[in-house]
Amino acid sequence: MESQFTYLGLIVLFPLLGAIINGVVGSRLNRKLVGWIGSGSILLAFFYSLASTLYLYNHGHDSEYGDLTYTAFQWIYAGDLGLDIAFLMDPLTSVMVLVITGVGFLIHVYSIGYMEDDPGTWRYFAYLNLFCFAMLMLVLGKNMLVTFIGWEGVGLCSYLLIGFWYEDDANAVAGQKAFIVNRVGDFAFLAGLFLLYYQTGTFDYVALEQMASTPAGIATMAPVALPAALLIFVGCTGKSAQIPLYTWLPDAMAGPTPVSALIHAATMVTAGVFLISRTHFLFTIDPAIGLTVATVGTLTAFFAATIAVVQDDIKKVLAYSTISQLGYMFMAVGVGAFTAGIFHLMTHAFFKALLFLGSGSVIHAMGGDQNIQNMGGLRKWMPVTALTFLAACLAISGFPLLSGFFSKDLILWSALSNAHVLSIPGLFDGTIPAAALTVEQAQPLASGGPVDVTATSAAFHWFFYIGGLLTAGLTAFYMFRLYFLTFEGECRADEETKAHLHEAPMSMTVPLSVLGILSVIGGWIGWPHFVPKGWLGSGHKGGHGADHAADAGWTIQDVMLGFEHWLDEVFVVSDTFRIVGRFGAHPYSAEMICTAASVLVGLSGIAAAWWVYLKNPGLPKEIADSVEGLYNLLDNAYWVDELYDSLFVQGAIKVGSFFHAFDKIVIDGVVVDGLGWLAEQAGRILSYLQSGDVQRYATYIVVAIVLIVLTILTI
Amino acid sequence: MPTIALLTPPAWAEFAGILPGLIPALTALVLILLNVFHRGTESPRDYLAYVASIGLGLTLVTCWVLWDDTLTRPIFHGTLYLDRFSLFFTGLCSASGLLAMLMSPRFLRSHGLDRVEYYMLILLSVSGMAFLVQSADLLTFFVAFEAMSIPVYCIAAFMRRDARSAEAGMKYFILGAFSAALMLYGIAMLYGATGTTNLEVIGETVIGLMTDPASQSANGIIMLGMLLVLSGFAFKVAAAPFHLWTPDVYNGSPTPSVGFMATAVKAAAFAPMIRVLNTAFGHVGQMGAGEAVQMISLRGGFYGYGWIDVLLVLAGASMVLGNLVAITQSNVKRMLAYSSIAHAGYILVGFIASGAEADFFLYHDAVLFYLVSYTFGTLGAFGVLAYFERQGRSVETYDDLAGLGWQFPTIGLLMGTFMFSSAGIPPTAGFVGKLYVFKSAVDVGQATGDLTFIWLAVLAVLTSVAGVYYYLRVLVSMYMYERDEELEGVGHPAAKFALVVCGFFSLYLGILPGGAMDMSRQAVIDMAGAPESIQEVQQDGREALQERLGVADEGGASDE
Repeated sequence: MESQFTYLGLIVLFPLLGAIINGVVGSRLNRKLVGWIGSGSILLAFFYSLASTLYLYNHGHDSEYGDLTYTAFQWIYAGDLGLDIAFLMDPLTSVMVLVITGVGFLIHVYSIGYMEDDPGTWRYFAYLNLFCFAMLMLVLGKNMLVTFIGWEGVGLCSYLLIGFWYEDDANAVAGQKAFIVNRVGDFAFLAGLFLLYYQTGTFDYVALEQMASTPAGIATMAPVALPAALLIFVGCTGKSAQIPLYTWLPDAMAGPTPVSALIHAATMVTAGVFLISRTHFLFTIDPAIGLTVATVGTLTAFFAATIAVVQDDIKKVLAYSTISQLGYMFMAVGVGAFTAGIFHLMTHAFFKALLFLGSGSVIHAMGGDQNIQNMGGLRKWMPVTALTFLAACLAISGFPLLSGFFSKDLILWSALSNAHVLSIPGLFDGTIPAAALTVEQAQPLASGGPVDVTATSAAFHWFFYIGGLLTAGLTAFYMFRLYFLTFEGECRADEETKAHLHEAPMSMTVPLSVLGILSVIGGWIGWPHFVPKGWLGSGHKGGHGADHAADAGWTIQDVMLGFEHWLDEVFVVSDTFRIVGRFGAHPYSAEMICTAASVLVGLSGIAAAWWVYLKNPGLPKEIADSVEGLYNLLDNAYWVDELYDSLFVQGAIKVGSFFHAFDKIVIDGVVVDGLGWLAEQAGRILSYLQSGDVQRYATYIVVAIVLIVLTILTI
Repeated sequence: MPTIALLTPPAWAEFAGILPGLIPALTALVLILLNVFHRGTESPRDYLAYVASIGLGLTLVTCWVLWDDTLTRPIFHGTLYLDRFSLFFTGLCSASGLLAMLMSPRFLRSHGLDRVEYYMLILLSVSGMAFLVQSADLLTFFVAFEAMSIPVYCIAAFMRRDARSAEAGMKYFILGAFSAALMLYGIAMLYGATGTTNLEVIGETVIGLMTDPASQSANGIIMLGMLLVLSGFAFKVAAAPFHLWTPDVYNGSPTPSVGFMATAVKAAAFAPMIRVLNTAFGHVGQMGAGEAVQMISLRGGFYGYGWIDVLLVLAGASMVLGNLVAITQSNVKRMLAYSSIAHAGYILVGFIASGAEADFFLYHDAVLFYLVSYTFGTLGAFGVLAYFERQGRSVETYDDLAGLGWQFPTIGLLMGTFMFSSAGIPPTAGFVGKLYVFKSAVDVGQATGDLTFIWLAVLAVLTSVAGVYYYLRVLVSMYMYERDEELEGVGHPAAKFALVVCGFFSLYLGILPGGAMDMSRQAVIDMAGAPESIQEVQQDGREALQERLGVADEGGASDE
């Protein structure tokens, strides 16, 4: 048991300790020391995350890596309800934990340089550590309640950090907006959680998964699967900034830039993707759930990308880009490609954190100016930032062999090729109950040939694919618009700013470089299947874990598909029984065409950006003028904020003021004051009993006893 | 089967049973000896408080050690029990005494009363409590009851130059003696009717008498005797209408000791109340049969007119009166006195629910937990008042507290915790305590289909809402009003430590109540001497608990 504590308990404990130390005595400590305490605690957590990942790897059986669990304490036992603060570490969690602590550590180190001159450094690091603690709770939770505690914790920290410079009203308002919008999602999440609990009687992921893999269990779950999953999904749209609850994320950029990098790009906003992956067995029960999720994801990805095209604020571009990339991840988990979603989550954490940190470096150099129209040619002054930024731009645009290319390609391919078993004609045409889903392996699929899916399903999947492809083009375009306007061409800043331009200090450039390397190589463990299997031959030996360790002879294929093998066992329930590839067992040529298409689209996006912004710098203005309506629409983000404001906010205010008046006059005036008056008068009368006279007290006692005795004995 | 021991010398193992009561008494003797060697009339005697605290700490440890070595049969010829139930209460009373003593030195010195007798009295009272909660016989019960009470009367009058303190002691003593006399009269009647003072034998005999038509005349005597004993309990726990001494006594007594009186004395009175009523008068026959109607009449049930019905009236009266009158008080000490009456009412709600039928016996764990949560909140509140009190400057009205929250941030924060806990606002211990007690009433109401329980719970919730008003008023005074003059900052590390401990547990038990809940449950399950109908329930509870803890252990083991 101690070992479990070392592995799981300490991962969570270190950031918490860091937060406590910095929060309690941080104000009296040296600013540098505060920063190193903050970073050091995350580094330690990172080491223990590595150790536990290795533990999983080395202790895997046959075809499974298994998991680690640790019950910190038993929290509440009342009747049937038993709640443990328990942690679970499986391959999925290990990926998340490594990203959170690894990227988190780099961002902490970066923050030391970034927040150098801020008087509230200790507060900043305390919040940041607290955030890491909450985020680790979220991903390590063994039951949904622990996840929910972390979920609320990260929301709180996000609120605190967005409004970190609370002296400025706008920042405080942005923090509140994030908090309130998230509250809407959290409410739905909580409702879904209780609905699920009401039906299944457990919050535990392992128990739920077991339930979802037996016919009897699934029969229990099926009635609430759709509503519960959709409610949880609404919660996810809040936290992960998807339609309709994405509006808080662009405003959240008011916080310090490293915060945007850590919370609003790399970790917290991906919590929704993680949660759906964690509860994948629930989300794949009914095909309607997946289609809903993927549709929302696709729409978000596309519309956010269109908005990003016209933004001039460097962080706003990145914010909308984040929303758009998160849309990709939801598209992936929606079509049942959970591995792809998590893969993109990881690579996205690398390159988007890098983009934010790079933008922070630029903002730092520009003296706080965030408008890219005032930049240009910065490469001359900040070579490291420019180079790493370029790497990240290439990665996010899907430039071949960079990390984003692999993950995005996998998502697009899955969007096109995946199908839910229920959407295959003739297989389960309404005669077989949902219970069969878990026991009947889809036999016709085992033959390996292409599968005939229903027209509706095919249409949806084509929609996802084309939407994703268009978004990929837009992404490449707006990212390189950003890059060219910032780092290339002539510098448009005024002389004074120019004089101050400088490369960031070491503590900032080192994390940039590390993330730059990760952005380049981070995807080399998830090649499209046609490369290792089609071209290099099927050298995969099958079996993982102990086998690997035993013969230590990895084939190149094992490495190239490493990510997939690592996560295989986590999604086995969905992958084996519910999600099928409709192009047959070895659709290498189709996969290749698909890859080629996305490479082509990405490159043309880059080329277009080059053409418009470097070659013909006057062109953007002309285009904007010629389609002014569209430009305004995009520039104002489809007026969604204004729509929400008039619909919900003003409405809520009106309802609120009505209730305020009601409260003041009826509740407060009549009920409360009236009752209070009554209570006080009654109390006054009763206190007359208290004469202070002992004889009288004794008399009261005697009278009371006599009354009781008479009452009882006279019956 | 009555488990009365034969007249043989007690076995060695039985002597362990008197350790919890013996240690505080011996510590008191050590204190006298130490005091003899004290030099100088002006030098502080804080160390006496520390030695006394060590004594009570030792008592706590003893309870902890004995926890796994309890006996089901009474010891010393059927006079005392050594069960977890008594250890739980001894531990609680020791903790309460320990914290109260740590809060005292500074207070006593500032009132020129830095004397050894104060600590001795608390120790002797705790010793009495230890025997009281163990007693298996009405005689040991009564002697221990007085051994607990008389030192408390003396403590109430300890500030002898202060007229209010002298008055408090006098009133407490006279009314206490009066109530004890009534109780003794009740015991005499029970002895007259049953020919024994042993609780278990009384329980057996009562059944025989009540089912025998020839002895109908004895029934009235038994009932009267039981009611008189009940009135003694009601007096000690300060349940209306036997509460009248409470405000005057709490107001006049030395503040840190009021915390002790309000918590330890109340807990030590509730323990024998549970034991005596359930053991001696707890037999429940099958409902419905003609003779069974007679049998259940002692316990009652709603409007069957037994002790349940009497307590129902007392609980309702205590909650309503305590809360309503507390609203009108301007003196915080008096307010806390009335609120302790209200708390007695809440505890009685749990008591009624768990006592209604033998099947619900395990719900007593809510009562035990409530007493724990109440102890820390109330002790802390009086401790804070004592902390502010200076010679010639009592801090006891709301106005006296104005602005102190800002001047003493830590103490202010702690007071906030205590008030939240007393008011039952999450995430404090008081909230969980109230939740469990009210839940037990609702559960029992659902199980029996008797709406009275539900209404009782509703009344409890409504009156506790009124409680929020006067508790929060303390915080309003402390934080929202300006102070005219500074209160000079004289603190005491021990007092501060005791307050922090109270604050810690008030929060800890609110966030992680599991451990304390389990201990309460074990104490209830292990209560010795209960009649057979209850023993079955206890056995079921024991198995259920073992199974749950066992499963939890297995769950841990499978993690390997």
